[in-house]
Amino acid sequence: MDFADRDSPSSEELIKNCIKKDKRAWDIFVERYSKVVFWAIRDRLKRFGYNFDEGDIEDIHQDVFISLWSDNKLAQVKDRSRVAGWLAMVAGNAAIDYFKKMKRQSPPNSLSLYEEIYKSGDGGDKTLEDVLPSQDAGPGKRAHLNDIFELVDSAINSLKPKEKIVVKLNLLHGMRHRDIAEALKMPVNTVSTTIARAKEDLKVKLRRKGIKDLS
Amino acid sequence: MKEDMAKLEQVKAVGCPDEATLTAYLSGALKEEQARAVEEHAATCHLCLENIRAGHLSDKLYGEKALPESSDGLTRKAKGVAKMKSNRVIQRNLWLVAAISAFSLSFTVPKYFAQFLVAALILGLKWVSESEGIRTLIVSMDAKRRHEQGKEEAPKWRR
Repeated sequence: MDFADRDSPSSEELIKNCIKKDKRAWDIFVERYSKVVFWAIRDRLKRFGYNFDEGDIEDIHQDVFISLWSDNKLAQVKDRSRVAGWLAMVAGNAAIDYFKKMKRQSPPNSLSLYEEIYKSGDGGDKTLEDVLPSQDAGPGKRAHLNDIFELVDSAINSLKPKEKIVVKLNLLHGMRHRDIAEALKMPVNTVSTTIARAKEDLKVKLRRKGIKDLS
Repeated sequence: MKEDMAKLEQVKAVGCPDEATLTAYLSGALKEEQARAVEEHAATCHLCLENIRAGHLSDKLYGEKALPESSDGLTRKAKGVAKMKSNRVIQRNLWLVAAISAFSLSFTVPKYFAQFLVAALILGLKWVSESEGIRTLIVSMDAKRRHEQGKEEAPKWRR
């Protein structure tokens, strides 16, 4: 029987019963949210540039559900109507923990993470590609990248924390304006204006550094 | 330069808000002061920003029913986490109770002392083999062990 598309019971009721160790509720919960965990693990490993196979995904997937059942981790969920988002974060973090523990691989630092995101073409549109120097920068590209990441930081230093989040989610994490607006509960226009202002500031700073070939 | 950035990120990573707090932030359920604290941290933490991105996108994709299906094997194994634990307890207890009963009977019925003792030994061995011999159990126990070790050495950046 396919429970995945069922809206009943509600996620609130389902979680409440899973915490009480109701096995029927657990089966429905797994049917419904297994794909969220699967997506989040794959997404995190891909974006962080880990060299993984299906066996790794299987192990991490099992680890996540063991922690939910055996450690009653579901009791930590505060907003039970948004369990998919919470589960994706838990699964993503479990993926990093697994690679740290089993493969002795630490998560990448910010610079290599962003390189990986853009190398894999997962950066959405209107993102860092817009402000990078031309792709054929050759051996000097690495130095250019270092400069650019420093400049991104300096360009957004004067912004408020929430505005910094907006700019970084777009320029460095590849999120689209509309998604950022939805996530942070802001008007899309405000998001676009903040990003445009930061990009303009960044372009000025890049020009001062002698980097002019911006798109 | 790269090492400096890595060190910087490590320092920044200490004291990350947990997943529940980030989810509450995304749903607008935090008090203004708490939300501000999350924003001040996340503005300088690429891992929290990745969590914010993953949290929002997965909620959205799940709502749109746009997530790819996981394999049946993965789902079955995850369901088995609950069954495995209770089945294991029943099975282990069953063989153990039988072994203890046979051992007790060997003293209460002296005529069949040796037979009951052998039966207790066989049932005891069965208890040991059943509790350790099932492949899925080993896999699950191994996963659990790894999970528990991971908890002991929980990375600071996640806490």
